[in-house]
Amino acid sequence: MREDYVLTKIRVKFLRGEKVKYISHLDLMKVFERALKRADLPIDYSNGFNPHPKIVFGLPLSVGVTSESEFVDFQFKDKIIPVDFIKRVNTQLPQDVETITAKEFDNNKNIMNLIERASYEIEVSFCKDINREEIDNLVEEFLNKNEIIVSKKAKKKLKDINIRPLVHKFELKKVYINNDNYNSFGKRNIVTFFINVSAGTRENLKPELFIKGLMKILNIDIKIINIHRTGLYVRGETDFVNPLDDSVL
Amino acid sequence: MKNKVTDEILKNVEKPARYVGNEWNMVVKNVAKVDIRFAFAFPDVYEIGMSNLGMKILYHWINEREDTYCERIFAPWLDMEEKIKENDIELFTLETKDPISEFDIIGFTFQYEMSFTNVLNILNLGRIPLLANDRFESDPLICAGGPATYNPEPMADFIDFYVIGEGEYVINKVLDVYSEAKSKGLKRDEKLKLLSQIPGVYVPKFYTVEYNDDLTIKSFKPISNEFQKKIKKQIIRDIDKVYFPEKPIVPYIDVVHNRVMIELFRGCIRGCRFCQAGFIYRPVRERSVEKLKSLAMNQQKNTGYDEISLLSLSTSDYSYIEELTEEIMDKMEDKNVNLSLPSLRIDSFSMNLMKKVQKVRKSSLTFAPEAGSQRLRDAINKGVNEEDLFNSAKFAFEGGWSSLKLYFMIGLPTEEKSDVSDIAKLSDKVVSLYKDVTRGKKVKRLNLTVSTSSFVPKAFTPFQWEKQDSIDGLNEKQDLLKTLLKSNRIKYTWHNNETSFLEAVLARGDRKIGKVILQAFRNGSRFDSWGEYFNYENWTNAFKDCDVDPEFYANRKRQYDEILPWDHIDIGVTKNFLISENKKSTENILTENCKDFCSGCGATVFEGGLCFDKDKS
Repeated sequence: MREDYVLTKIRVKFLRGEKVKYISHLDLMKVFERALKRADLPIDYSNGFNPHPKIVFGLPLSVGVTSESEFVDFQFKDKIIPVDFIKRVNTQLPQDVETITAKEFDNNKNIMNLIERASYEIEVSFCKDINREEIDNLVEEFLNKNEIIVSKKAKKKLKDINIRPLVHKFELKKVYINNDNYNSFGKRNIVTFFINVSAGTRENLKPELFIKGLMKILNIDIKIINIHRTGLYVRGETDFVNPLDDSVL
Repeated sequence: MKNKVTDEILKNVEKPARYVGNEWNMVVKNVAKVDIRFAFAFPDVYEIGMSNLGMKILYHWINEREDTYCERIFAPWLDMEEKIKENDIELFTLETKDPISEFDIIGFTFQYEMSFTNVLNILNLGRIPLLANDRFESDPLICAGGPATYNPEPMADFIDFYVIGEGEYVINKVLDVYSEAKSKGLKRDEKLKLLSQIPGVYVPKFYTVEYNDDLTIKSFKPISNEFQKKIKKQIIRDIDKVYFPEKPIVPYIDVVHNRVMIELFRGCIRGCRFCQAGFIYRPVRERSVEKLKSLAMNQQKNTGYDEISLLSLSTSDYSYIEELTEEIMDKMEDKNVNLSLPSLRIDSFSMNLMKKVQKVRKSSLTFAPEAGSQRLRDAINKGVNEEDLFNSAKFAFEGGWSSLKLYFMIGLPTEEKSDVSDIAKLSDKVVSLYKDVTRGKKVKRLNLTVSTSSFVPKAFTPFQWEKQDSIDGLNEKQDLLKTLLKSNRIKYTWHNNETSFLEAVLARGDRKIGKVILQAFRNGSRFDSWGEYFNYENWTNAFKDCDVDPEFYANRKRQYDEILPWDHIDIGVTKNFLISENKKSTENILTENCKDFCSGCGATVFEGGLCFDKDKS
């Protein structure tokens, strides 16, 4: 019976690198489930006909996207020390999936419902010559607008949504203009943007859709080269904070 | 030259994880420190290949050798094939991404005939000449093994050497011989000559065929006395001692069979007359409970899988199945690891076993009566009667199952129209049985799937001389069932008869079929086992262009004294035994299973397994 168990809830920050970026969210969940089994860590299971392990991920990561800051909650049916957990599970995780920090918590708020913001670095390539000033203007133009309507696929239907209110920060990070190398788009103008956007179960803006909005303003093709998630945030007392912040645990 | 499999390519194909490797337990070696680079090629998509136990065994076994690095090749899906061509890439292995043309040996596994065009596609994308005779000194040696190599002739033009039988033992001899030949700097043909001396190794180019005017084979012989007249399949005598992987690769993406797979035994005691596996894998050899238990535990521990599957051709026939399942379940219960038992026979013993194992989840159940009438079931030596079926179904329904699949074959030798309509009668009786069993209870409605496949005669079975039913004949039988299976509780599914026809040609073809396969590939065929990509016209055109009549292979009854294209392969089971089984089928006479009585099939020559153990006692 369940009363016998000492339950431990642990929130974990992990990263996902290049070598595992092509697996889906579901596959990544399996990676953790199997790593826990190999490490013989006593994960708790739900009751019922089809018991599933009590693991909750913060926010799905799309195929092809890397991240330095993912979060997952585990519930164990035994006392587990967070630092021990990190040591044990990391030996059983594949290359480029690594847990960084873990903290015990004791409330019923699961990470999936808490996440409200995500930040990304998006590396893109423009299909025409573009200079630094034009890009600065583009960012400004975007931020000055109140409405940027993009059509989004939702349950097989296309739906128009205004993405502007979902973008909280949009900055130019790096510009690399190389006139010698040609890619299939022509001149290789590589630009890295930083964005902070709404994320989570209530409102969520995927970086791909953000780029679609950007293309609409510019009216040229922008090709995404890489997307890297730099952070996930939850609502703290005054501002948005890291999900491992003591104020939310 | 290192391949550039770029992000840009991977981001634009379906399931990119098929091509990146790096899975848990993948073997990593320094290529500069090995003598032999071996590439194991599965001629189908990653998810199918990574579900294959044979591939897992040989991949890890070959990698036990320090002098060899075994890597993996799969057939790229059509979107990736396009990218490979567009970007001028050579097909690569998952481990190092090196072009496959740089390897010493590429070993294909032929699991089914409909993957033959994929073999050619892999070679082509790897820029390796398709025909063995066109290859250069620098090209890899191309070898093949697996169930669809027991008739090696249809693919003989493309394969440098075959390894017939179970690979664990013979592959080491092959690699030893190759290693020595390579260090001596021997030429391709000299290497092949040395390899051809190994029992079980067949080098097609050292054999020659003559044909009669009626296109049957007049003679088949080695080009000189130095080559083996008959190639004897190789087996593992003591299966308990042979290597079995304890750290198999765990794919990232969901593959067809993504679980711990433990092989209980090889061979099958039953001898159903249509079943090739039932003859080519003789004699039956079982692993011990102790060995299986430790394999299951270790594999589970090293993979982290949540399911253990006990595999064999007929799982309930394993001598200690109850003991084994109980012990594994006992150990696995608190780890939330499930046990699954595929390939159960239709009988009360199996049902009890299943009930024990499937405590909670009521997944769908499959029964395979194979034929609708008792007469035909006897003719094919199925050894199952209607009572077995109804008792088992009743047991399942009482136990709460509401989803059942019945699997039959149509076009079996001696089949009459009434045998086909009996499939419908039997299915209707199962529907009524469900009503009777569940009367007055609140239950889900029955979901009965009746599935028919169309019989394909295979080499080394008692039906190897039989003609396959014509496409029209098979279509008519399917139409009959479509009209007879009227109940809204029944869903009828059937196979494409053009595919089955082609499979019959490829399964019993001779060397003349090679050029047809090549032409069909050039016409665009690949992934022929995938209904959506199967293009029958590519094949009919190829037969026409090559002036080969496919019906000669599929729809012709052979005489017992005809030289068959696979007669130079020796599987232990004698032709006389197959003839006697063929004759018994016409009289609907059953043959005892190997445990109850030895019928003298000839497999005792291997001095191993069940028949040998019995003789000793």
